[in-house]
Amino acid sequence: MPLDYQGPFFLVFLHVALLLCPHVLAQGLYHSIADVFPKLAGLPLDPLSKSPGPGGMSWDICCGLAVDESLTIVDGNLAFVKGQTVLHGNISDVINFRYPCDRAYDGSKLDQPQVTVTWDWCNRMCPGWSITTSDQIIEWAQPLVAFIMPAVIFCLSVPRRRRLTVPTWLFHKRYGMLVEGISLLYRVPIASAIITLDTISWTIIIVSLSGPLLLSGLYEALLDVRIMRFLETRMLSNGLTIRQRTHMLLVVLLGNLDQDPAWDHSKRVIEELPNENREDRLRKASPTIPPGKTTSPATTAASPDALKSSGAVEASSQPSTYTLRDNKDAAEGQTIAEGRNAITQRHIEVMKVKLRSMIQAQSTFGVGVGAAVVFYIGSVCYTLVELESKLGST
Amino acid sequence: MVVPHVAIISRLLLAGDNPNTWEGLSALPQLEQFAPRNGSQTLDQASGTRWKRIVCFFKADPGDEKSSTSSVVVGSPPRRRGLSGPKYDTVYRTAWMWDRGTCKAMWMARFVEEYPQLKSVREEVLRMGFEGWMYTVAPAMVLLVLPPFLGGLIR
Repeated sequence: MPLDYQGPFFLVFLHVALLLCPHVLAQGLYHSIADVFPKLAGLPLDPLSKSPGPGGMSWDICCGLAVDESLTIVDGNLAFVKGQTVLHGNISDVINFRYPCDRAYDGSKLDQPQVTVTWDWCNRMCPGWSITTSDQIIEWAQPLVAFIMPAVIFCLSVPRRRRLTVPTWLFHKRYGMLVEGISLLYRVPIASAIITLDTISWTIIIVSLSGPLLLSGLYEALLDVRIMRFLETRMLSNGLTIRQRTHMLLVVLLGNLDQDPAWDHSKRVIEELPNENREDRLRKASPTIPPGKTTSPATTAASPDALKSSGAVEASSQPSTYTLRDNKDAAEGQTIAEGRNAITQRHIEVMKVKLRSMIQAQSTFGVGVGAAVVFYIGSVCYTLVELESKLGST
Repeated sequence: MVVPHVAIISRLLLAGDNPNTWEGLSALPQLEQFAPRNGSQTLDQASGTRWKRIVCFFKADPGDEKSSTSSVVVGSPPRRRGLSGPKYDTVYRTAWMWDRGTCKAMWMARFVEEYPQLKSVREEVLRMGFEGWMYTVAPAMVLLVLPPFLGGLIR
């Protein structure tokens, strides 16, 4: 065919080739970056002119802006902008691979096309935050099931003073069973909403005040340990009276209550317990001690014997030498002592049962949080291992 | 992960959360005199005012018109009618978790006042010192920093 008749066919063939063969396009026929990456055609002209709104930030647009800023067309060819640091490697790598924003970060080498921006650029060009949509199941389902729900369950076991409760009048029975059954249709949702609000607010409080919560709990634990250690060191020496020991144990068990009226009640409960330590008992058994210089250490402070006695309350006491009464007085004293001991012994046993009951009434650590913590730690370890394989996962 | 830490610490404490046990064991059905609540917590003050109004309704002597200092019969606390209220229906109020350490320290301080002959209690139990602060602050910092530290191990 003559050349003038071949020209149009050649141009048609070239245009078809240009459309069907992207690699052919790399040879200097680009007009804009959108010719290479059609997804960049949808970028907003002025991204900063309008605020994205709550949750309106889009990572796709943000990445597209970064790619658009780093590429340019020079003589019909795609080229990096001078001094750009967003894309890495050769320009041919960028062209040969897919659109860079479609790739997920996998921690590979920087010579493969990846889009990296500074925090400053990201904060300036992509303000706001990106809301998780319902179709991105992995992004919201896993944190919800693995972290949020167990956290809510743990929050229920943390002690608190007040809470939101369902009012009693909401479920107060007024009418017949049929009407009561129908009224459940609105009562149950209202009650559920109240409890949900209470649980969510308590969870928020715990997460935001976790520092003071931990510090206060550890402080109380330290006080408990110190009190128990104090009692243990004084048990053998009988330096404390039974009343003092019991009261100290009650402080351990009731120390989380308001003192009004718990303190007064604790004092009343221990009123029947003996308030004598070993020194006082030995002093009472001896007739050589003048009257007025015995009884409880709290009332004696002047005499050297009293001071020695009060000091011996806290230190291991030395066995003192006291003369015994004569037989008649000893028998009478022994009888009184036996009678008092029977009654006071009963009070002591009752108090022991009460203290033991208060401790046993609490659920064990394993039942309360131990088993749940084991599962939670397993979930955390699994998530950490999974993140190692999916770096950059939101 | 900090929430399980808080739950663990709270369960390690010897003082029980539920004061109903103590209320049942102490069993003090006597005339009590309710002092006005501490005004530092407005919610409790408001509930104390409501409590006084409700308690006055049940008082033994209708002729006694004193409000804040009247002796009244203690029964079980009345039913809650609002949304917010104490966690347990008892006359005893538990402290918030962030107040428990201070609350117990105040109990010990009152114990020391009650038994002045036990002078070493203040020294051995209440005095914090460097060792005491290290036993509380250091574990708290470790527990708070542990979750982000584990996250930072991911490379």
